[in-house]
Amino acid sequence: MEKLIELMADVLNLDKESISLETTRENIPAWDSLNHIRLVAEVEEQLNIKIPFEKVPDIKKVGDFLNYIKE
Amino acid sequence: MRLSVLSNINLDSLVGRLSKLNDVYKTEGYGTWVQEIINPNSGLYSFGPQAVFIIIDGEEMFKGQSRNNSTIDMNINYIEETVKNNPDITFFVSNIDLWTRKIDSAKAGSKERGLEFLWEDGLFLLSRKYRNLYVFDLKSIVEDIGREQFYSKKLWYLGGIKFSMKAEKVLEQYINRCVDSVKGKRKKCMVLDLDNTLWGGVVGEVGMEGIELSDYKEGARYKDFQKKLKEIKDLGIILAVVSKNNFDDAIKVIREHKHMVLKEEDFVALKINWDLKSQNIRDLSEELNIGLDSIVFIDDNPVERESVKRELPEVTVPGFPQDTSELLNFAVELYHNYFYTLDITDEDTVKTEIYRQNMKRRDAQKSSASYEDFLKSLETKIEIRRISAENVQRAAQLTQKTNQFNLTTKRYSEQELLALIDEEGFEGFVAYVSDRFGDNGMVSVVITKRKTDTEIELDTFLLSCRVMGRFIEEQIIGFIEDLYKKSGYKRLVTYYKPTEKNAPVKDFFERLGYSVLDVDSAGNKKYILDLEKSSIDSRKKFGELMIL
Repeated sequence: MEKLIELMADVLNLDKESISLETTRENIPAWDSLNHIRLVAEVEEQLNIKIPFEKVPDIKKVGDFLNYIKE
Repeated sequence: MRLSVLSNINLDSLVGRLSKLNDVYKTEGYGTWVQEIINPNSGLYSFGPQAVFIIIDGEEMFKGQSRNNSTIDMNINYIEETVKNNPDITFFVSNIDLWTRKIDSAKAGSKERGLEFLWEDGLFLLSRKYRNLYVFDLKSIVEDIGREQFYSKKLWYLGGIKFSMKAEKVLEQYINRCVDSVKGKRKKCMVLDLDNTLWGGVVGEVGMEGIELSDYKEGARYKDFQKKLKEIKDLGIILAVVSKNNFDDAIKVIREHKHMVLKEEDFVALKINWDLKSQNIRDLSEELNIGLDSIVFIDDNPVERESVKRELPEVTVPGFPQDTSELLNFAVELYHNYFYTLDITDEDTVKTEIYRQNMKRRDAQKSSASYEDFLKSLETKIEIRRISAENVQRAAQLTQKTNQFNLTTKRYSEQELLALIDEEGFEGFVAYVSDRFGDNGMVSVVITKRKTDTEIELDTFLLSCRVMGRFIEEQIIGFIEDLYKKSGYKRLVTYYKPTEKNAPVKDFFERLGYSVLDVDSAGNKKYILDLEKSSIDSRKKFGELMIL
């Protein structure tokens, strides 16, 4: 989870402290469509998980990634 | 640095990463790289980049085009035109990777390798013909990472991005490294420890026969490491040893061990003693006259590394691999991080020799009765030539790199220099210096500019720090004064423009008897010398001057 937050901060160019599991796409202007797919790719590559193509648009907040990490 | 990344695919995400450190030109859309480079009025040229990276995706290049030579020839021609017409921009053009995933019978064969080769061969021909073009080795990056990891199908279908995040990170590093090289940020000297660094074990304990250094198995770790260091040295990086050891034990290994790849003459200096390493490094930097910030220190012992870091914060001290089977990779990493080299000049290949001669000169100086005796004993020869196509590469390099003895610090590229001396009223000279210890090569550049029939101006006057303190500059300026006096000029106007590093020559012209005409608040000084009253005999002279 720590790693997830770090990844988010890195891709979105924000402070780690400003991001929590409840952070949503609407809260953060930097989380645009390009960065959204970059985030998905980064999470997949670094945490070695797969997020199904069809589910990518459903990810609306940081915590949503956890569904795939836990599985 | 102002740079641009052009491509036939979407690289917005990569451009975003690069923008953290650089001023990067953003293209409208993608796939327009040919228009951008061919049209002299394109956004690219009005942006004015110093370096342009052209990253070509092979699949995309052939899309809708016939898979044969004509597509390649056409694109190579565009690139040649561009590189020729923009000599002051450095271009990096990628080779290509063709991942076809073609479904066809085995008999059908694959001509992709051939196309990849044709493209790369076309680029290499250009890179030999034009100094401002380099091949960007995309294909090797793809091979090192592996196609499955380099490309991302998901990113492609989601956002038209072809490369994975991992691939982007590597590309980012690679591009930044090229940018550093264009800026000339390369380090100059690598200082090496001996025990457990160049060989395994402690020679003082196990003796020459006991150390690990061989062609196979354990000892090959160190031999392979040495081989790579030798390759780095051959690119013009100087190597030195700083080791806590009994001199006799260590030098015996260096001279006699049959698996030592690095020989005594490969090192500019061997500081093998029990003094503090930081003190040895400080001495070395003074003896070689290079800054501490251009030194990289390699030692397996973390205590030594920490001590050098603390005493000499300017010195770069990378970690040392805990797993010594990584030594070969470590050497490659050192090369990439600190010594990455775009091109080598003839000077680079003999650099260690030049610095070794300088060390011998210092020894001669110590044994001379007076400094003047020492200078006379050097048997210096100064050869002055005009700048020409044959010597312009080194002349331009000197204007780029010389910081201390540089009165106006004007930086010129080769093309600018050639254009300048072609202009009416400009003349350019270079000086070569040799002495009984060896050849220093080209060490000085002088450019003059005619102002009026009676007034000549000094546009550039610089001297390499290698030969500072030998009054060579006085003989060169004496030659210039004399030359224009005899051509009928009455006045020589010169300048001192202060920079962070050229304080050593702040009062150079005052010492030579020039009158200060003007000083502004920034410290820029303008001088004048009445040529009718000057005499070449008033200039100090320790060498023999030859005009060619």
